[in-house]
Amino acid sequence: MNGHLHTVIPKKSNADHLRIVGRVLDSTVCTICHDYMFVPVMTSCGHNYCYECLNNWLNNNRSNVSELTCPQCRNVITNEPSLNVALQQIVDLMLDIAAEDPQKSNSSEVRSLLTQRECSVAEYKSDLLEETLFNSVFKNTAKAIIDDDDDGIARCSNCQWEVEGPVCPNCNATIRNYNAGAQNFDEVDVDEYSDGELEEVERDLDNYRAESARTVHDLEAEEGDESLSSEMDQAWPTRRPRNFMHGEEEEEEEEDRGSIDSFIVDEEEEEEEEEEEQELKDERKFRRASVALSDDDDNESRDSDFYEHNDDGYASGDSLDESTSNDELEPHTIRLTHSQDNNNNNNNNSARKKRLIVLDSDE
Amino acid sequence: MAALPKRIIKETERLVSDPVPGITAEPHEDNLRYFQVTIEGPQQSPYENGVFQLELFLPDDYPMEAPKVRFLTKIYHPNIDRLGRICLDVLKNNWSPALQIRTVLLSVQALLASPNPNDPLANDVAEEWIKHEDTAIAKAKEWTKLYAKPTQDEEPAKE
Repeated sequence: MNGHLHTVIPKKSNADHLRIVGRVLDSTVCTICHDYMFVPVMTSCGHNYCYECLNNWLNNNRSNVSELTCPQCRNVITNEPSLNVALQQIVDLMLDIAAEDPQKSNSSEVRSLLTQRECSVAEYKSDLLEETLFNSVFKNTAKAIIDDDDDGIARCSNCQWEVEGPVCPNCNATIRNYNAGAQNFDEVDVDEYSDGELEEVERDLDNYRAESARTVHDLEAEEGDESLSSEMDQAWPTRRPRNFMHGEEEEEEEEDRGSIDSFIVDEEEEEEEEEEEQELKDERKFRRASVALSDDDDNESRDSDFYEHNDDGYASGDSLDESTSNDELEPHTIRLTHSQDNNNNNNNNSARKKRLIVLDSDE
Repeated sequence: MAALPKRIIKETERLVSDPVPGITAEPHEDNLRYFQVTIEGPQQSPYENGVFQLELFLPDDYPMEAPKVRFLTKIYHPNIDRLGRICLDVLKNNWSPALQIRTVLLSVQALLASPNPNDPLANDVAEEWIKHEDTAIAKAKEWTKLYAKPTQDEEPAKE
């Protein structure tokens, strides 16, 4: 040994010795269960927890929050934490010393710690063997990562595939930061645009707004408000559009969370769906147009491009029973407009505006 | 109810052996997950010299879920409503199992020291706080005097 640390630590009295051992042991205590970590796992940010405790937290956490975070520093945990062997050796050594001592080995405390260690290790080993560490939360889910050097395309952290929706189209992993995505995923730095460019975008938006407002007005005039709304009430409740666009999920967050699982579709099914996709596309355009016009910030020229961008993202999740005849589309369109007008808040509007700008810039 | 987790026992022991200055938390005899809490108003805040009663409950999922904390003493504060509910991030989205009873109560005490009218729970209070801060602070002081009196057995010790 080169450092000779053990030779420079001053010789201490028994009391000091106990305090040193106490300090060392303190550093082997899990901040979640406040007990010794017999199977310490370390996050990428360097914090250690019992395997069981962190597993509980990451999987409990998942139901309310889409991101997996470190309990101590709240950093997002992207990679599966790994066993901290050095720390485990320290804990093992301490317990082994106690267990070897003829006076202490039979005490109830030592025996209960030994049982505890046995259980913790067994649980970890069985999960390791079955390849279900952390309930596979790091395999079944992924994070969308945006690399600015890569045109700012969001990619799945598991397979690097381009992702747009709540599920990776390649590896079927649920995108953990999809919900948070409404803020991060799509956010664009306004500074990226020169003043002229921004003005241009805004002018385009104004034109489109005027245009689409006219369309809706005409439709309303044709059908008459009352007949429309009664028709819509029948058609609507079972056919609410899902959150194809990131911005929409703020309004429909609850529904979105509930339906994320149902979004995962086998590849075969996906192929079948592709045939119908074209049909659906037309319908979508209708809906989208109505969404956009109600928030006053889209523009016709980027319109089709915008939908192209979103189609991949939601094709796998869209259920076939949503394909409706064109006759039913108009009521949808108008209903969307109405409800958006009522419910939209400024946040939604601005979030959407940002998103539209991003999509435009992809061209 | 499930057996009391070791962590709760340890936390309770430490709250007694190494109490946080200005804060007390005692578990209820019949329910060791229910704590009666007192927090002293921080110095140089409108709540100075007040002693506020709170209740704290550790849900079954604790520490995976945040403790439930509520003011029992009436208080004039933009982030605490009429029912004593507290608008505090660590009690909601920002809960982490690395936090504990003592850290949560310290956060509540810090909230008394720095009210945040821009993220209000009691809208009327927050509005007053923004528009007429002096009046609001005067009212907070008045309420503290009126309602946040030290309990009977504590009073002789203070005098």
